[in-house]
Amino acid sequence: MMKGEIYRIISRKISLAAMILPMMVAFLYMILSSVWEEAVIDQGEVYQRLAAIGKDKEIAAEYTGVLTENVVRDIWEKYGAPVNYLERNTGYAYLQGAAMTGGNDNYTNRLVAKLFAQETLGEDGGNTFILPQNLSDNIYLRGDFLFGYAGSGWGYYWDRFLVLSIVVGVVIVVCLSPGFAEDYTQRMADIILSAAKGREKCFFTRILAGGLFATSYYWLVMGILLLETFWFYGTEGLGVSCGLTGMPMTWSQGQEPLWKALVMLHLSGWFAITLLSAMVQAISAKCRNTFSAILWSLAIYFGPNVFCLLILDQLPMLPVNLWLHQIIYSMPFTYSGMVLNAPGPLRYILTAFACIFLVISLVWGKRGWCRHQVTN
Amino acid sequence: MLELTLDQVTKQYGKRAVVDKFSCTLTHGVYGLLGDNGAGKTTLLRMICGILELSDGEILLDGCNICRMGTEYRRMLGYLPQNFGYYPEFTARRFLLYMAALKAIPKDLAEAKVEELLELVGLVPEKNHKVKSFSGGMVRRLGIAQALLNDPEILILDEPTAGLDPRERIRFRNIISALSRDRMVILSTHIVSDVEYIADRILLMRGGQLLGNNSMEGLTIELRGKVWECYVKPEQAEDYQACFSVSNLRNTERGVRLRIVSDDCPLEGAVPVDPDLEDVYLYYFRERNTGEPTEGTERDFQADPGKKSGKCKKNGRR
Repeated sequence: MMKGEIYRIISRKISLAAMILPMMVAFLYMILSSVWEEAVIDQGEVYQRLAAIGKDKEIAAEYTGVLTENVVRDIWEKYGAPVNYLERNTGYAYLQGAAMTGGNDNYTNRLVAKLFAQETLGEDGGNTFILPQNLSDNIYLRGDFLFGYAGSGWGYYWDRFLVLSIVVGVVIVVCLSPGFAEDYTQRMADIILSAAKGREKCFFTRILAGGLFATSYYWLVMGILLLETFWFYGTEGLGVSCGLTGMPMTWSQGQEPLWKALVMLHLSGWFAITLLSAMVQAISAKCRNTFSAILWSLAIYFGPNVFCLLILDQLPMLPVNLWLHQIIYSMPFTYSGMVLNAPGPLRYILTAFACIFLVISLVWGKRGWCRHQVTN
Repeated sequence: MLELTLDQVTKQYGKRAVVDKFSCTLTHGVYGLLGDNGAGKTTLLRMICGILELSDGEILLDGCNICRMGTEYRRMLGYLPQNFGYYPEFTARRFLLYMAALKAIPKDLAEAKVEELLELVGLVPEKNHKVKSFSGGMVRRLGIAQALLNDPEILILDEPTAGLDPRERIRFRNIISALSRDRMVILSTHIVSDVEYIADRILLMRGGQLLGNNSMEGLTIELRGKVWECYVKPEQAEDYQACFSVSNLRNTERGVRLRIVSDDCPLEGAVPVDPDLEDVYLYYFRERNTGEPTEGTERDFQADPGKKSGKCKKNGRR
């Protein structure tokens, strides 16, 4: 039965088309949004794309290790303020112009500027950065943050992951919405529901098949993103503290290595997709045709977050509003991002809510399918 | 021997009873469920298959309510619905294997059973073709094959020969006949010939109610003396068709031969003949009319001397 259900999902032409597009997006997204934009200016030389990544690695290697005030000042003394930081432009002509000023621009001094420097007005009237005299209160210098080269590949991984996970979510909606709804319109429900295993067994087999499909597709797309990032940016960044890489872990865990954050991010994303697959199929079991199943599924996927942004965020943050926020954050659209960002106990609350949604979906969907009344 | 009891089975939508206190007991053999469009046949069959809830009454299999039996009952069922659905991208073989899994047939047995049924319904050359490429008749045959996958003890067929050509219909009839020996087969159809030769009993249904439950022989015996043949002039044939229930009209050298279903002798000269199932169908499902001929029609005819029962001199009133 499982093989048959998987085949049903992937044999639809619309499913195949829906699956291929995000894979192409995942493949090109990294290259066009990250690698293509890499640029380094070092001692009057301009480096772009892969060469820029190589140069950045070379520069950062000298300072890899525990981030201290001495390290920060050494970097600043050697490379100074980055010359292509504000309103960053990676066009070759601009880079050449910036290189002629004699300044430097690389991953290392840009990170120092971002985390430690203060923006000020320069002698030439333009904005520049200076390092404050006193950095002792800076949380990144408490002695447990590890510096190393992560690059924009790992630095923006979070953003790319979230965009792709939304795309994967939409694909899951498109591919799984026909699961039960199609049986109603194509009258297959008449013979399936009268078969020995056509009710509970069929329902749970489809839920498992849908979950398996969602899991496989999710890991395929994220695998492309992950492998590409490894390919272009290497593994040096995995040991870097995630608070230095742009991964928005909660502050109490900012010193955790990037690889840990990535594992949590991907596992939470996988859980969100699995929850979504169950919800979509439950909706499909209640809808009478594929189109309405897709619409309702998209509404359930995007709707809560939209409601939160438009309504709840404008209201006072009273306890009820806070709890509503947590409930919405536990939905598939926001779960993977929020669970990473949430402090310890809240993670468990979000996960508990998500599990409750999973159970409700399964119960509600099963009733919808098993009690379906075949009429004209 | 299985016994399926329908006890006051009712299905209501609002105030309208689509199936109205339908009661009968079924055992092994072929049951032909005959009725007009809207008689409630499909609704009744859906309730027997457990895919539509009853509003009232119950359906019992050997004394147990089928709703409580659940999977156990469904294991015994084979169902071919009126509107048979399929997955277009599946091949015939894959589709049957998929249905075999749903019917709890072990994989090793399923492969052999699928091949056997494809052979039975004549779809072996097309077994690896996608169902979306099939003609209507081929789809129907595939539907029959899936209904037989689990060797069902109760086989429910709703308009099974819809879309089949005469040769296919005969083939189907022979298949059902062969299979019905130790099985309960309920066959719903408009096509009288589908059941005329194979049904052990006929259930007549109209307006959701059971009108008659009898063997072919019993029904035709009941109708003896109510089926007549006579000859009329060609220009009058249409008028008489409007007045009476005419089961057959044929142009001959002597005039138009009408076969009329009527409680009384419809025309002078009409002779009673042996009824068949079409006559029975027409008798129970005819449109009600006054039996009055239109103005200007001659009503006095001589009987055919070749017929047994002699002359009828009455006029055409019912």
